[in-house]
Order: sequence, then C-alpha cells, then structure tokens
Amino acid sequence: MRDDSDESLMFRYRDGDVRAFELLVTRHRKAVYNFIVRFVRDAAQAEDVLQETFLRVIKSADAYEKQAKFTTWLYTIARNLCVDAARRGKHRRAASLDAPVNNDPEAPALIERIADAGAGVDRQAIGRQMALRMQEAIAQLPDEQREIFILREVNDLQFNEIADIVGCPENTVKSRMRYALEKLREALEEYRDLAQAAP
Amino acid sequence: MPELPEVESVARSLRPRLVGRRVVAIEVSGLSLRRPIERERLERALAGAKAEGVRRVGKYLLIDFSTGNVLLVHLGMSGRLLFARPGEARAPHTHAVFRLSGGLELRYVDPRRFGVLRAYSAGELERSPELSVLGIDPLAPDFSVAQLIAMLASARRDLKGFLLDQSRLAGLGNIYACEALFLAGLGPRRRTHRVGAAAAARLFGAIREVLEAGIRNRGTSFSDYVDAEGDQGSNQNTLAVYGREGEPCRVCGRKIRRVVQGARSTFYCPGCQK
Repeated sequence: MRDDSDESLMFRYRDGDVRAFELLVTRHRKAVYNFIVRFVRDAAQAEDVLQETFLRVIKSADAYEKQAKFTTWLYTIARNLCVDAARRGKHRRAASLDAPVNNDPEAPALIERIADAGAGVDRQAIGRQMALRMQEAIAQLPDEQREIFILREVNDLQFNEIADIVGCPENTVKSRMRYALEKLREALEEYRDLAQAAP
Repeated sequence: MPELPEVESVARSLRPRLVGRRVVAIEVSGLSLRRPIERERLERALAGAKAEGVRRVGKYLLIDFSTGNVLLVHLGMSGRLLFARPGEARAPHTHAVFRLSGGLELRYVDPRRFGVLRAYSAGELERSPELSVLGIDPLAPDFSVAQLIAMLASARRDLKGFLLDQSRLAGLGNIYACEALFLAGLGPRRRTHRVGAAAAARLFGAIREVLEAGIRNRGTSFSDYVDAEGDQGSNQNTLAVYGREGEPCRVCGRKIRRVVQGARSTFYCPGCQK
C-alpha cells in the first residue's frame, strides 16, 4: 500500500481503510503545514487550519472522485481555509524574524535550506542573514503573490495545479510568480555581491 | 474538576425532575464566578420559561427552555447543581437559586467559583465564547478514528496535553486522559504526530471506553462531585492509574509513576505505556 498513488489511497479510505488515510496524512502533513504556516504566519493557527483541512478531507471522502490530482484537491481545501482564516483576521500579525518560520521541529528552516553547510564561516553568516531577509521578504509579499511563490517553491507544485488551487488562469499565476520573484530579488540585491565576495 | 462523565451524570440526574417545570424566580449571591452571573439577563431569558431538555457538550451542561433560550452551565473546579426543597437550608457558597414550579429549587453551589452560569438565545449559543472554541465531543456519533488521526497529525505536542486541549477534544480532563492513555498503552509524553493508525485506533477505543465506564459508574467522586440528587459516583474505585502513584500496576505489577506535565499530575505505568 505504501507505493499506492494518493488517488488510490483516497479511494481505499473512501471504502473504509483507515490505514490508507493515515498514509495520506503522513505523506502530506509536513508539506501542507509548511504551506499553511507561511500563509497564516502563526504556528498555532496553522495547526488549527491543518487539522480542519484533513477533517474536510474526511467529510468529503464519500464525494471524492478522481477529477483532479489528490494534491490539487488537498491544497485547494487548505488554501480556502487559509483565505477564510485571513478574512477573519484572527491571529493576524507580522511574521517574527527571530522565530523559526513554522516552529516545526522536523522541517528544515528556510535558513538551513539556503545556507550552505559546507561553506566557510563568513559565507554561512551571510547565508543566515540572507535567509532571514528572504523570510521577511516572503512574509511581506502580497497574499496572492506569496501563496503562489510558496506553492511553487516550497511545495513544488506545477503552475497548472496552482492555477486550479487558487482558481485563476495559469498565465495570471505565472505573472504573479514573476512579480513575487522581482520583489524578492530586490530585497536580496544587497547580498548578491557579498555572497559572491565571501570565501 | 468534573469531566465529561460527571457532567453527563449531572445531566441525566437533572432530566427527570427538571424537564417540564417552569422557572418562577431567580436569586443570585452577587459574587462573580469565572464570569459574573448576570441576574437580569438570566431573568429576561428564563423567567416563566419551561425547561424542555438537558444536554451536554464537552464539559458544558445546556438546559433548553420553551422560549428558545438556553442556560449554559460549566461546573468549573467544584460546582454542583442540586435539587432542594424551598425550606431547606442553603449550603455555603450557593451562588444561584432557580425557584421552579411545583415547589422545587435548583441550586448552583460552587466554593471555588470557577464555574460559568449564563443564558443565551438559541442563535447566540453556537457563537458563544464558551462553545465556539470547543473541539469534537469524543462521544459524538460522528467522531471517528480517521478524525483522531487527522487531529493527532496536525498537533505538535505530547499526547497528554493534546487530550486535555478542549479545542481539540471537548470533555476529557486529567483523570480520564490518564486512564485512556493507560488503556491504549501509550506513554503520556509521546508526540502526537508520531502516533500511527494502529495506536490511534487503540486510543480512540480507549477514550470512549473510559468515558462510557465513567458514565456507567455515574462519575468519579474524589471530593466535591455529586449529581443533582446529591449522589456520589463510584468510578474512583475502578481507576487503573490515576491517583495510584507507587501502587502496583494491575496488569504488569510495576509501580505506577507520577510526573508533572503542564502543571498537572500525570499518572502512568512505565511497563504498560510506551
């Protein structure tokens, strides 16, 4: 069963196999959480939204049809709940630069992804500063650009899937991604020369 | 603190004599509980209204009235709802008296004053600060193993803390959380997102089993708890780990241990719980 596709596991769960549901949760929990926490920018609220996402999957299991990829369906649910949470404005606050992105003890922090473990001390220090700046810059992106950047770069989804999830044309997704990248590039401009100059 | 089985037992003991009676008058002590008792609000909502039903959500008691209004009660740490005849002496710490038709009173007694006594319209109730934050009632018919798996996977904390979180599962407190973990064979410090499907299924069954046993035994009476007729429960005589530090486990014989988690005592068997 471990090698089964998501869609196959969802059908097995629909037919009553709880173990299949657990496999789906295990497979996607971290990635969906990473998407949610970067959207809502609050670890406790992200846990609530993650729970509600999987509870909605359970509730909708009987109606599940293989019309779209399971991940597209899953992220659509998560994204809609994030939008609802943002509308309610509960726990809405600026992202802390000191706190880890998501307080997730398992997930590598963004800082660890960007800093090169094999690099020299100076380079590592620059990497850390740059990662923090990156984190701040992502948090400051407009919601519609941030969600697309996260779905593409963190969750590794295709543009056509992202278009289905956010409910807009693929070209709009691509242009929002382009704007997001431009803003991030501007935010990190000062580090380009430093990073190149460090040993 | 009264937990789900105690509150359910109070609800069951209230129904026979409360349903069908009207509220004739309301008296309050003037002292605040966790929130102030608003006498005028209670009178507006309940005076002259007939009690039509008593139900429970998590650790909250809900008394439905003919006007569509609802009396919400949380017993806090030491609250009791007791029937009494009008002439009977009032117990110390009586903070509200509901005079009922047919010569009966329902009295709210709460020495530690951590309870809640508040009236809502039916429309307000679901959005109330008390109920809007509650998670799933573990005895609700639609609660499932899959839901528990989803909830465990979404939280990042120890199992004991998870079970006490009323925004996840509404109704478990310290006693029944310890007992459920023992029955499921799960250590209280185990991380929620590392609980697999088989263990989640065991925990699901254990939660329901300890709660249903608690209800069958009409609650756990260590000190304050009695039902509306003043009767104690007997569940304290059947507990496997709670309050048994240093005593042998009834399954493996090893000594029951006590640790402090989140400022609460957790009792567990180091042999049976992993």
